[in-house]
Amino acid sequence: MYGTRDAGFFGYSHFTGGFPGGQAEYVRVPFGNVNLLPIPDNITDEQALYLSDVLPTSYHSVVDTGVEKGDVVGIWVSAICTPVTGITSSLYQGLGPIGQCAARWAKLKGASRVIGIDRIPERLAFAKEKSGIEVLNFSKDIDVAKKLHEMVPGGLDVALDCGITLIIKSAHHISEHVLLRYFSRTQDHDA
Amino acid sequence: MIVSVRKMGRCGIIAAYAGFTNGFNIGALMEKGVRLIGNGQAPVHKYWEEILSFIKAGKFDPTLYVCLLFGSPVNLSIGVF
Repeated sequence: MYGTRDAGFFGYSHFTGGFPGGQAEYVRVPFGNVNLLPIPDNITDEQALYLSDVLPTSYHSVVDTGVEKGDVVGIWVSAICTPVTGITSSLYQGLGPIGQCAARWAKLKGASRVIGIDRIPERLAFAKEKSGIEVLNFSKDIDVAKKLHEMVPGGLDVALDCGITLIIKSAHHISEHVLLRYFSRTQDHDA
Repeated sequence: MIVSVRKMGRCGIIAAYAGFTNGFNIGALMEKGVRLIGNGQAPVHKYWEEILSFIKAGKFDPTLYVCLLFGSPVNLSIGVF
């Protein structure tokens, strides 16, 4: 992929080898002594479940981008949606597990403030209460960058994209969306 | 993201993308000295023992995010599995 070989991933479509079963109840794992992690008896299945995907992914985003003590971190977690028309796509991820977990990791790594950006009231409430972070509802504050600079004078230290930050804001953008040019996110890169 | 961070701020992309993007604000990236980092696919083996120790120590509670098991409407909007 893109000039080099990548690993084969379970459940990541033919993009990475076409191996089904990433989230299956049972899966046959090759090279099991390397690719399996023994789970101690005192750890429940629910506690261990996300170790295969969600936790390393969210942890990696925080560690790899270099969240340090005292940093102010913004987490982009919204999905494909249109604050203007209210049309939403089924591809919603929102302040989902990756974003919520990244927020928690960022706090564990010493971030002084974490701001989650989403538009779903339930998710924002969950993030505020359970993850203990500040939130920004971009259906109210459409100019996310402006609002963030009000909240954090000078700007964020770190921004993490933990969703697909396609926010459709104009007719031009909708036409690109219809033409399947999803990644022509002209306005969002300015946010 | 690029406009929201401070000068010399960092932007990390863990969200899944493929292909190309248009209208990329390369001006803001260069003039502000923003570090744009593609995080890539997470190296699971590198972290899972470290993360398990966080769970064992009770510093991180993943069950907060195991939502669909409980099936309330609020949780349905958050959970993915």
